[in-house]
Formats: sequence, structure tokens, C-alpha cells
Amino acid sequence: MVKFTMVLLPFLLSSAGVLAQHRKLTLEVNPGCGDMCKGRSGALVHVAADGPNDTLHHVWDFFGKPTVLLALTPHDTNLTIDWDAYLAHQGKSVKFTNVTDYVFALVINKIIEFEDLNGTAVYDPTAHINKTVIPTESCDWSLVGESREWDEYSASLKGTFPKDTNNTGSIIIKLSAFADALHSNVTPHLFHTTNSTQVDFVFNNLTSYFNASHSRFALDLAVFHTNSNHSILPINRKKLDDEHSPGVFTITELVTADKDGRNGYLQWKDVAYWSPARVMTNSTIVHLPPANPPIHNASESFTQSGVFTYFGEELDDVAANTVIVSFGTEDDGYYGGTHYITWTFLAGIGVPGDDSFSLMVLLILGLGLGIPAVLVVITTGCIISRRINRTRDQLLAGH
Amino acid sequence: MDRASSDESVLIVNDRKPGANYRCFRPLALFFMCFLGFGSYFCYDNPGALQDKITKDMNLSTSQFAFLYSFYAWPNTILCFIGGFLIDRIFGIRFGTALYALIVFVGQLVFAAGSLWDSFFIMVLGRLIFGIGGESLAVAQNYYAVLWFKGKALNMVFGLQLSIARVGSAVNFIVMGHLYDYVHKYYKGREALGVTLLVASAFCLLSFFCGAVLAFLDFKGRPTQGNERESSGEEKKVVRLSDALFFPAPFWMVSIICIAYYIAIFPFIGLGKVFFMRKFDYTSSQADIVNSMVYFVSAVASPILGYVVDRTGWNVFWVFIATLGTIGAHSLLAFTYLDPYYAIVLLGLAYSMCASALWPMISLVVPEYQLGSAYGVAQALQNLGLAVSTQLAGVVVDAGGYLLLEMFFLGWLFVALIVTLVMWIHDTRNTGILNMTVAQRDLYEIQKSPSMQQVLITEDVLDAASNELNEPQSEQDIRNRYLSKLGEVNIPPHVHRTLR
Repeated sequence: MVKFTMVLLPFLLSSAGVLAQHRKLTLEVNPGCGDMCKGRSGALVHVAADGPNDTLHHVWDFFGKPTVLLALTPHDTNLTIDWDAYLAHQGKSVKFTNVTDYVFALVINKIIEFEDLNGTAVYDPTAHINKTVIPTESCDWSLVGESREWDEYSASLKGTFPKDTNNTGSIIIKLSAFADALHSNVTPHLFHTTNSTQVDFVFNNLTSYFNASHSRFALDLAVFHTNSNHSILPINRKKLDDEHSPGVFTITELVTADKDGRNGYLQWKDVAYWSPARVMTNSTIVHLPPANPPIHNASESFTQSGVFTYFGEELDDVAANTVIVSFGTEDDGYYGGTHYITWTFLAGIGVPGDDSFSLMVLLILGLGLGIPAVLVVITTGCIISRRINRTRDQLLAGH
Repeated sequence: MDRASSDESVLIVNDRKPGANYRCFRPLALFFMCFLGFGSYFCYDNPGALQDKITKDMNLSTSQFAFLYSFYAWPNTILCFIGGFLIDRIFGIRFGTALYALIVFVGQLVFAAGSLWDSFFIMVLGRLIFGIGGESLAVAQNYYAVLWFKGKALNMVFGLQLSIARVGSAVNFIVMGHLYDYVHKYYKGREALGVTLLVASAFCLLSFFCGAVLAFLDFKGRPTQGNERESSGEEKKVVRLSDALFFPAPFWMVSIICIAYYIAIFPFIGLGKVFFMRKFDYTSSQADIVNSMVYFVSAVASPILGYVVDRTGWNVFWVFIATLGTIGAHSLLAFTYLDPYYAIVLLGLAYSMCASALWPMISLVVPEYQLGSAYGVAQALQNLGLAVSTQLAGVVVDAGGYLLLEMFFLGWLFVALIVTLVMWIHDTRNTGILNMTVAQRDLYEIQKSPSMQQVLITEDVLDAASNELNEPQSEQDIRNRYLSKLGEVNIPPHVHRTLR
């Protein structure tokens, strides 16, 4: 028990340490744009999170390819946007007033529907010939909601498809920034630090371009970071604890190579749900191929994205990787079963958050092992005292 | 096993062994007696073996799925009192057994039909009917054993029935998944499920067939059914609920252990399959095999461990060890990624040990004539515990996942452990009979008889018991008690249930 507590103690302390780092949030939509942005599709949401040591800027850019840009800056750093240049997708039209410490960005590049004939749901760009690739900048993005709750500021965006594609479905993305390190209140209840944006992604009622009974979806993501090399390490960990995500024991993290103690990460529990009711029976699996190939000459293919408007032509020199995830498992009815898939993940800077055993688990173990231990002592005492009494009685009787 | 007095009278009336007038009747009867319960044990764990399929095809949450087990347990909170009584008073053993086997078959058919008609309600109803028949059939099965094989061979026959029952449960886990996969080639979704369950019901039909053959053998080989009815007046006296108010404290402690301990076994087996698939990445059929191991281990270990307990006594000690072993097994499952085979084998061993050591304790603390109601109360409480906890376990999985489910089981095991220790302390401060060796118990019994009181009063092992000696005891009581310690006399057959 002692050993067990000692193993747990660092966990508890570290989570307490993360908890202590509170950030003050402010959220603006299209800051400084004015009338220019009215009637346009797209939105840019800026959340500034002021912590004790620095400010984390969440820039959620939906003009073009949806981009989540996280920038760590000193205090009193502002985001400035040259809207004329920005709306013309010119490089370096988005700036910070101070030098950034570290930048980590995630671009939702393409939505891929593929025909999964063998049913495994693992997407292989070379093997799957029947596929439809939808570049996300072709979608019409609009802000459908924003909320400012005490510890979570979030924005919801909806993407619809051009008329000529006859796709009547939509993509719904909810992005959240957090004031405190806690478990999210939506299943799978990811544990977020204050240095992360949570992305909640829904493929809602998308039109299938194939036989719907073999249709799967995959997401082509691009990760950009100001680390010096392209390597990004996928780590797959089995956890003991599925308390916050019933039935899901695996957690996947993609962490960029460390530079001066700075790094970015993507993190998710290996679960997606095929129904808005996010319960275990509606769950399916998230697949990540082992290789995440580096991206070269990104300034050409990513002009219409938040990373180009920030980095400009220098984007070619920024370390970047492609991350493709696909959803499904054998015998789950494919996408056509419910026409719905939702997946939640975190994009963040620093050390990914980690679950620890809840107080309830520790309490049951503590009481359950503690009380019997006391009783064993009492039992032993009883037996010994009886033995002693008996010997004494016999001795007395003998004399 | 404490033969209810009714059987003893049969023995006296009939000094010839049943079936002895035909050469192969006794082995035949033994064979059909063992396979009488096969169908019901096979089908009892059908939901557990098909958990992933059922939840998917019927689109159920884990807590809904748990209904399939809890509704099996509900009718048995009452039936364990009257199952044997009904046989005695109304049906007679031959008709009663066949009827219960038929109810089991009908229950399984309704269960399958519910799946075919896409009605979860009908499925649950089927399990309810199945439960009504299943437990009573187990009672009837034991009744037959007592009627035919009382005497030295009885424990062996019980052991054999128990092993066949466990094998039935284990085979279910191994066969059902493959059967489903095979049927799935021809039928889709819940239709495949319904057809699979229909095929499984063939085993229940087989049990019914066994019941019919047994009735025939019994009619030919033991034409004394009238005697059961004659003696049923005494049977009635045994089953009296008001007695329960005067049971001694150790009885209630044993009951609490029964409830708490078995919560960590049966609901776990019911929900285990998906746990193995999700946490240990087992395939559906691998998970079935792991789940079946509990029963396979138990089929082999139960007779051996039963013998060990019979020879050594030390019941409290063995229960303590079994509970610790079970805690160890569940801890391995909860806090490690060690291959679950180890944990499950440990669980199977501990479960067999607990079953062997726990139930006989009731006969040590409750007077002979109250044993019937004592076992009835303990089983009713246990069934109530299982009904409620299975339901709760499903809710826990849905809301808090499998770690919390394991904590739920561990919590109950801790309760069992604590009560075991309290009982141990209580026992050492009183008679000490629960944790005596067999030899000590024999001495204790002899010493308790009034004539021996004066002679043996200074005997070492006895002084703890001396404060009990002034209790008046009839010769009959003492004889019965003595016999029960020797393993001659045991649990009344109308309440003894092989599953536990």
C-alpha cells in the first residue's frame, strides 16, 4: 500500500501542479475586421489565455483550410491582422506584436472518403484506389456558436460543401480553450492542460460517393511546428484507467521533437463514436498509420490556410508532417450505418496531460486494505492473548 | 449433506438401492442426472458468451444488457424456498423435474424469439422464465441424487453433477461465439442472434429428454414415490421463515460473505467478455476462452479443494484465503496488463475453494432442524444480491468504465474479507468451531454430549467450547451434528444448488 501511494504521489502532485496554472481567457471573433468580414464565409476566432508566465494565443482560422494555431508569447503581446492582405491569402498578414516563443499549428487539410473493401478501416493512400478527396478550403465555413463558460471558451463552426458536389452533409468542428487543467465534460473526457485546444470533429450526414455499405472516412491533417526537425513521434500507450472514457484504455500521442524544452503534441483516446450518444456500444476505433511523412514545399499547397498567412513564404522552412487518421472497425456497419462519426482530440504545447486514478479508486483501495489489516492485527492479538491466558491457567492449575 | 428427514424415511422403507433390480439402471440414472442440468447451465451464460454480439445486434447499453442476468436472479430470491417444497407437495419428483426442464426450454425459446422479433422486453421475459425453471431444476437434480445415491457415494455424485454443470457453462463460452459466426453466414444481425439462441435451446430440449428418461428410470427402479409425500409434513416444518429471526450472528456473517463474495464472480463472468476484448485486445473467441477458464478450472479444482476442506476443517481460514485469492485475481485484472489467464485461473481456484468452505459453515452454526430455512435464507439473500449487483455493475460500466467495475468488485470483496475477519474474531472468542480441524470438531461434538461433559472438561482443544456445554441437546441433535461434520450429512437437497 505504501509503495502504491508512493507511485501515485507524483501523479497527484503533478496534476495539482498543472491545476495551479490558471489562465485568464478572452475571446474575440474576427478582431479588427469590421464590415469587411460581413457576408463572407469563414471566421477567425482568437482566444488569448493569460497565464502567470506567458500568454498562449489560440488562433482558430476558418478562412480557407481550418487551422488551429497555438503561439506561446510573452505577456502583453497582441495579435494584429492586416485584413486586406489576410483575406487575399497573403503571407505574414497575421502577426504578433512580440517574438513568439513557440508555435504549433494544426491544419485540417483534406477529408477523404474511401471504399474499404476488406473492412479493416485502415486507410492506405496507395492501396485504396476508390476514394473521394475533399480539400477543406472548398467548404463553406461559418461560425454557428460561441460560448464563454467560466473555464472553457469555445467556438463551433460548420462546414458545408459546394453546390456542385451534391453533398448535403456537413462538418461540425467545436474548438475549446481552457482556463484550468481538467477533464473535459464531453466523452471521452480528455484531460486537457491549459496549453491546449480541444478539437471536437463531427462528420454529419455526409453524402457517400460509393456504395455506402463500404464507405469509410479519413482525415488528412497537417502539423506545423517551430522545432528544428520534422520528426514527430507517435506514442501509443495502454492505460489502466478507463474511468473517464468507459471501455477505452488506449491513448495516442504525437509529440514533436523537443527544442529548448518546447514541443507540441496531438493527443487522443483511441475512440470515435458513430452516434451523438457517446457511449461504449456506439464506439469505434481511430487508426493512425505508423508513418507520418514530412511535408515539403508547404507554401504551395497550404496558401489558403492559417499557417501561410502567419509564416508566409518561410512556411517551406517550417517543420511539418502529414497525419492521417481513419475511423471504423470491422463489422461496425461502416459510415453508412448511421451517417455519423465524431472524434475528439487535443492539440497543445508542452507536456500532454495525463489521467490519474480518481479519489474514489484510492479511497476504496485504502479502506479495503486498511480495515482488514487492522482486523488481522486484532485477530492475531486475540489468538495470542487466548494462548497466554490458557498457558497461565494451566500453570496455575498445575501448582 | 443433511438429507432432509424425508429421504431418510425412504431409506428405511426401502433397504434395497434404487434401480438395483435392473442391471444398468444406476449408471444410466447417474448419467442422465448429470446431464439433466447441462442445458440450463449451458444456456445460463449464453448472454455472457455473446455479449458483444447481443449489445451490437440489439443496440444495448451495458446496463440494459445486465437485465439479462438480473432477471434470471429475481425469481430465485423466492423460488429457493419453495422449489423443493413444490416437488414434495404438488408435482412429485418425476413430473416436477420434467416440468422444470420444460420451463427452462420454453424460457430459452422466448429468449430467442425476443431477439428474432427485435424486442428486448421479450428477451428479458425469456430470461425470467428461464430463471424460474433453471434454479428449480438444479434443486430437482440434487433431489434425484439424494433419492438414488444417498450414503457414501452421495458427495461423489454431487461432485460429478457440479463438474458437468461447470463444463456445460465452459463449453457454452467456447461454442456460442463460433456458432454465431457460422449462423451469421446465412442470417444477418439480430436474426443471426435469434437463430443461434434457438440452436442453443436444443441443449435444453436434451435436458428435458434427460428428465423424461429419469422419470421412466425412477418409475421402474424406485417405485416408492408415495413416501416422499408421507414425509412432506416434516419438510414443511423445515421451511419456516420465522426461524430466521433467531439465527446466530455467525450465520448472518456467512450470509453477508455469500452476497459480497459472489458479486465478484457471477456478474464479472457475465460482463467479462467485452472487458477482455477492450482492455487486453482479445478477439471475441479468445475472450470467450478466457471466460470459460473460470468454469474449467472450477470443474477440475472443486472436487480436489472440496476434499481438502473436508479433511482439514479450518473453514474460516480457507474462506479467508479464497477471498484474498479473489482480491488478488481482480487486482491483477484491474492494475496490470498481465495475461488475464493467470488472474482467471486464480479466480477459478479461489472460487472453488470458497464454495467448498463457505456453505458447510452454515450447518456448523445453525441447529439441524433449521438448516432448511437457513440455507433458504442465505440463497435468497445471495440471489437478491446478485440481481441488484448485476444491474449496478452494468450501470457502473456505462458510467465509469471497467476500472471502476473492478473497484466495485474489489469493494465487495473487501467487505467479504472484513466480515470473514470479524467472523474469525467472533469465532475465536466463542466456540471456535468454525475454524477447528475435523478431529477437533469430532471431539467437540463428543464432548458436547452431556455424558462426556465431566470426563473431558480439561481436554486442551475443548476449553474454548466449555461455555457452550450447558446447552441442552438431544441425542438426535448430537448425532446429526456429528454426522454433518463427517461430511455424511449435508445441505438439504431441496436448497443445495450446484452452480455455487
